Amino acid sequence: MSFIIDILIIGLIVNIVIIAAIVIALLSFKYHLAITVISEYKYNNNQLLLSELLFYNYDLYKNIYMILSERESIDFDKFKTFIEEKTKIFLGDKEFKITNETTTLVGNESVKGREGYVYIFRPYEYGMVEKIVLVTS
Amino acid sequence: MRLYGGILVFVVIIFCGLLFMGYLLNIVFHKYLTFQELAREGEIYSISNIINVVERSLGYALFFSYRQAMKELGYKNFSQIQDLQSFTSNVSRIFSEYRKKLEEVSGIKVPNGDIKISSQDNITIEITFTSPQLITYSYKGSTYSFTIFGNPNTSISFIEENGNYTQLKSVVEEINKVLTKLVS
Repeated sequence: MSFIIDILIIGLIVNIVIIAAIVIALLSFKYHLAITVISEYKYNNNQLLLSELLFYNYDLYKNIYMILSERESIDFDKFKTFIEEKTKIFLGDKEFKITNETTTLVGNESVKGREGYVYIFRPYEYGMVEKIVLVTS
Repeated sequence: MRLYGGILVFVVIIFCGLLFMGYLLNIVFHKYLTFQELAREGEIYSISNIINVVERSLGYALFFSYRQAMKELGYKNFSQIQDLQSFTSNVSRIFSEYRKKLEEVSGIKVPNGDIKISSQDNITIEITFTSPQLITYSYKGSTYSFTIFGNPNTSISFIEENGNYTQLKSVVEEINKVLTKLVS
């Protein structure tokens, strides 16, 4: 009889230990998942910002999309200040650059950090499609 | 008492072992599940943004195709075009190259469709692109797959004067708009 009670007590203790270990593991799991989700959504904001920035109008003919797209055919330096000003509306004092993966088009060349990209159409003679990346510190 | 002392030590060892195993399992499952879930969510969100930009800028691809056709055929303005049907075929051919290039670099498929070019006064030109099919992007991975759709119907109007182009206005047509951003 005493032996059976011993077995029952041991079984009870082992069960409590197993449940405690699983609960601790699950609590820890939930905490980490929430942190990672927040981080990922911050990353994607750059792409959303870039997609809105491109359609910001300069005048009736040009928006930032067309300025970047036709930069070889226009005085691009004249428009760089405009693009920087409009980007700062979204980013504040945060450092940034807009690149085509090989050349920095606007902003601080040394900036490294979060990236968001889209594809833009370009004139036929300049390769038709180009990947444009917004990098923020 | 000695028996209970031994059992207590045994239980403590089991507890520590299970805790450690739980911790290891937590790391393994956490990394695997989180990566899988975020990869899917992130990919859908990212491609949806990219397709949105493609929808809004498809008119510019039509404009560049028109300009390239003018250059290739040696026209300086719209009034010089004698065979509009033949000219439109050239614009369609160049636009198809744009579609292929986009698919090549991004995986986004813009469907084939009809292009119409019109002008009331030979100065204000309008180009429209219509297709019964949708823009698609399909992803197939080992653990999940999805397809995102977009609206290809678009038009662009602009003023052409002495080889200069002004007042570009690109409009994403509302037809089929209800079908955009469907994720399956």
